[in-house]
Amino acid sequence: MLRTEYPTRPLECWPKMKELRRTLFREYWENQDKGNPLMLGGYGNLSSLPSGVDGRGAGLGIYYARVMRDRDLLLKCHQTMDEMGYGPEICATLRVNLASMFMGFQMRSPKGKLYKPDFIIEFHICDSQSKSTQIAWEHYQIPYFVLEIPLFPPERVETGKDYMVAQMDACIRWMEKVTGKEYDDEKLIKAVYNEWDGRVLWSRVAEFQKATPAPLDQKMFNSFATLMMWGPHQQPVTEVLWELYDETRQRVDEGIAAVSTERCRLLHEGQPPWFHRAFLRYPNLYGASYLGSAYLWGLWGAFGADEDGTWTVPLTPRERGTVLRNREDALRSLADLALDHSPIVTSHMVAPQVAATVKMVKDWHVDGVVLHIDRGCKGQSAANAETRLALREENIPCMVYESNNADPREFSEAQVMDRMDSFLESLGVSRLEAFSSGKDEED
Amino acid sequence: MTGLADKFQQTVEQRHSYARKWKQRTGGRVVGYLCTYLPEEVLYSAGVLPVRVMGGHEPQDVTEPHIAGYYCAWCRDTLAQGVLGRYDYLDGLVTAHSCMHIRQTFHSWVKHHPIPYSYYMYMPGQVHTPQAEECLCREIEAFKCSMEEWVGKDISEDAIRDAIQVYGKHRRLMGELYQGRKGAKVSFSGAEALSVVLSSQVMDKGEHNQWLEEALSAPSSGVDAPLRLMMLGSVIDDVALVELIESLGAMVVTDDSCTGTRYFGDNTPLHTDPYTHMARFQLRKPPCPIKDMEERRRPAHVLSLARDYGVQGAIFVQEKFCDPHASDFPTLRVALEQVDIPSLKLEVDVTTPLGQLRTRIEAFMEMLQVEV
Ligand code: SF4
Ligand code: SF4
Repeated sequence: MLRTEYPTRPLECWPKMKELRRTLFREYWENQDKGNPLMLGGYGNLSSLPSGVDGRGAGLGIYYARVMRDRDLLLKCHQTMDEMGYGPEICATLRVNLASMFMGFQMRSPKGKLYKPDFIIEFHICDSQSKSTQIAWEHYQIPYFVLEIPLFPPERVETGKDYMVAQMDACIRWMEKVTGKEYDDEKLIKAVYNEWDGRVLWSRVAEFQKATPAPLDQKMFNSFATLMMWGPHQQPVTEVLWELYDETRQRVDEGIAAVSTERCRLLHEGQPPWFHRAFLRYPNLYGASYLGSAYLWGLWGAFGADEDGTWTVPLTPRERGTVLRNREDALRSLADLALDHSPIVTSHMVAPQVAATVKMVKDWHVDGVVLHIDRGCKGQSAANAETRLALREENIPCMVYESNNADPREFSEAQVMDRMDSFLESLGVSRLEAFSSGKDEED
Repeated sequence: MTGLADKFQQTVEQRHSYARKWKQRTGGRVVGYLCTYLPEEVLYSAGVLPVRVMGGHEPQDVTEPHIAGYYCAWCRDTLAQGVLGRYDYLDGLVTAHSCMHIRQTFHSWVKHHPIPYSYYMYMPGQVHTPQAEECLCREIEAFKCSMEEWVGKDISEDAIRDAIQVYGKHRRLMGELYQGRKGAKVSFSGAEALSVVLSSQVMDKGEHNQWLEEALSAPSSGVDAPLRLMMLGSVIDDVALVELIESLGAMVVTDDSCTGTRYFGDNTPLHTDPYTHMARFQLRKPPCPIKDMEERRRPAHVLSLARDYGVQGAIFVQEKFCDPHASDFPTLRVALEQVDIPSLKLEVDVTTPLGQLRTRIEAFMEMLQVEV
C-alpha cells in the first residue's frame, strides 16, 4: 500500500490551553480564600448552575490525572478502597477519587493547605456517580444536593425538562441557604450562554474530524477535555475553544493532519485505559489514528440525534437569537441542553448510543472501531456489547478488548496490543518501519 | 402453613404455566415487568396480568453477546429467560427506570425478541423531593394512556381505584404475615415468607389476596426461632438458599429486599387522588440503594427492622457485580455492627453454589451462637 504523507504541525493554541488549565487549577484552590464556595461534585455538565454564587467545582477528583500517572499511588488507591469494603463493582474512576479523599490528599492544595469543601452538588446521570458522592458527603459532613438528569424517551422529554427545571430551581434556593449568599441570576444567564457556546464549539470541532486527513486526534481532544471538565460556562474556556475552532478549520482548509501518515481512521468507544499514556497513539505505528469517540464528543459536546443515529450540531441560543431574560429562561435552556442535546445523557438508554456509533462510522469515514468492554465504567460501556452486534450487522470491522479504564491490574498490555496489531493488519495496514510513537507527547 | 406454603412455592416454580392458564381462562394479556418500582396497579386496572420477570438460576451462555459479564447476575439471568423463550407468552415488557444493568436487559430483549408492547417508565431517583412526585404522577398518567391505547379501551377512574384497593389490601395482608414473624414464636419461616412474596409477583393479586387470607386465618402457634436472622440484598429469590440457612438452625425473620419488605412497603392511604397515591407509594416505600440518594434512609430503616424483629445477625446477599448494593454495603455493615448485629456477606451469581455457601453460613452461625 502506498504511504500517504500529509503535512502536520503542532496546534498553535496548545500552550494557551495548557496555561488556562494551570490558571483554573490555581483559581480552584484560591476560590475559598476569596470568600467564595469550594464545591465538590459535578464534572463539567451544568457547570453554569453554581456560578450564581461563584461556586467552583471539579468533580470529585482534582488529582485524578496525576494519580493516573503514578502507578504506585494508583494501586494504593484501589487497595485503600478494597480494605474499606468498597468492592471492584464500583466505578473505578470514583474509587480512585474516593480513595484520594480517604487518603487525605483530595483537598490538599499543592501549597499544602488542607481545605474543607463548602458543599457538594452532584449531577445524577450515572448511578455510580451519585452513590459515590454520597460516600464523600458522609466523609466531609457538608451540605449535599443531588440534581437528577433524568432519562426520558423523546416523546415524553418535556416531563423530564420540567422535572429538571424544578430541581435546578430548588438547588438555587438551597445554595442561597447553605452559602448565605444571594444568587446572582445575571451571572447564571451569562454562564448559560457560555456553556452552550462551549459545548457547541466542541461539537463543531468534532465535526471537523470528518475531513481527511483528520486535523486532530483523540489524545488532543482529551487534553482540551480538561477545560470542559472545569466548566465551559467560563468565558476564558470558550475563548480558547474559539481559538481551537478557528485553528482546526484552518487545518482542514490547508490539509494539516494530526497524524502525517494517516491511512486508517479509528473510533475508540468507552474510556481508554487512562494510566497507559501511549495507548491512544499506538495505532500511529500503522498510520492509523483515533479520531475520537461518541463517548468523548458526546460527553462534552452538544448534538441532537435523529432516530437513525445521525448527530447534528444545534445552534446556540445566541445564534438563534434567543434572549434569556431571567432565571426561568436560563434554567429551561440548560434543561434543553441536557435533555435534547447531550448524547452522554441519552447514551445511558443504550439504543441511542448503538445507533450513534454505527452512523458515526459512516459520517466520519471510519475504517474500524475499537470497543472497550470496561469493567471500571459500567455507565459508559453499557452499550458496547450491543454496539458490537450492530457493527457486525453492518460489516463494520471492530475489535473488542476487556479491561478497566482506571485499574492497571485488569489491563493485560501484551494481550491488548497483540489484538490491536492483528486488528490493524486485518484492516489492511502494516507497521511503518520509519515511524516511531515511542515518545509520548506531554498532554 | 405447610400445605399453603407448598401452594405458594409451586406457583413460583410453575409461574409460566400459571400465566398461560390465566391467559386462557381470562383471555387477557400478560405483561412482564423488570423492576418493582413499576406501579402495577395501572396494568391491573387495564385487565392485564403483571408478571415479574425472574431469573432461572441455571447456567447459560446466551447473554454474553448482549451484556458483558461484569454486569449483575440478575440482569443477565433475566435476559437469558427472554432469549431462551421462557417468557414467550408475554404480550408486553415494561420497566421502570432503575439501574443501568436492568436497562440493558430491557433494551436487548425488546430489540432482539420483539414483543407487541414495550414501555420504559421514568421513575425518579430523588424520591424524597416534591419535584419527583410531580414528575412521577405525570409519568404514571402517561403510562396509563399508553396502556389504554394498547388495550384499546379507556381505563376508568373506578378501575384504577379498584386496583388501588386490591393492591392496598395485598400490602395490608403482607404486613400481617410479616407481623407474625416478630414475636418469640414465628408463624412463617423465611422460606415460606419468600415463597409468598415471590408468588405475589407472578399471580393475580385478587387471587393472591384470597390465598393470603387463608394462610393468615389458619391456626398457627408458631415455632421458636433459635437464631433470628435478617437478609439484605437486591433480589433474593432463591428459596433453596433460605431453606439452607434455616436448616442450619436459624430463622430468617425479616429482610430488606425487593422480593420482600421493599416490595409491599406498607398500606398507608397516601392521597385521595389515585395518581398521587400510586406515586407516593413508590416514592415512599423502603428505598433500594438506587433510590436512596442524599441523606441515606436505608441504615435507619434496616435498624428499625432489626429492632422490630429482634434480629441477631444479618446476611447480605450480594448479586455479583451489582454496584448499587456494593456501594451501600460498608455503611450498612457498620450501622449493624454499632448495634451489635454481626453480618455475613454472600456473593451470588446466576447459579448459587449452595455447597460452598453452607460452610460459610455454618461458621457464621457458630460465631453467632457463641455471642448469643
Ligand atoms: S459513567 Fe462510568 S466513569 Fe462515569 S460515574 Fe458512571 S461508571 Fe463512573
Ligand atoms: S439493583 Fe443490583 S441486582 Fe438489581 S438489577 Fe441493578 S445491579 Fe442488578
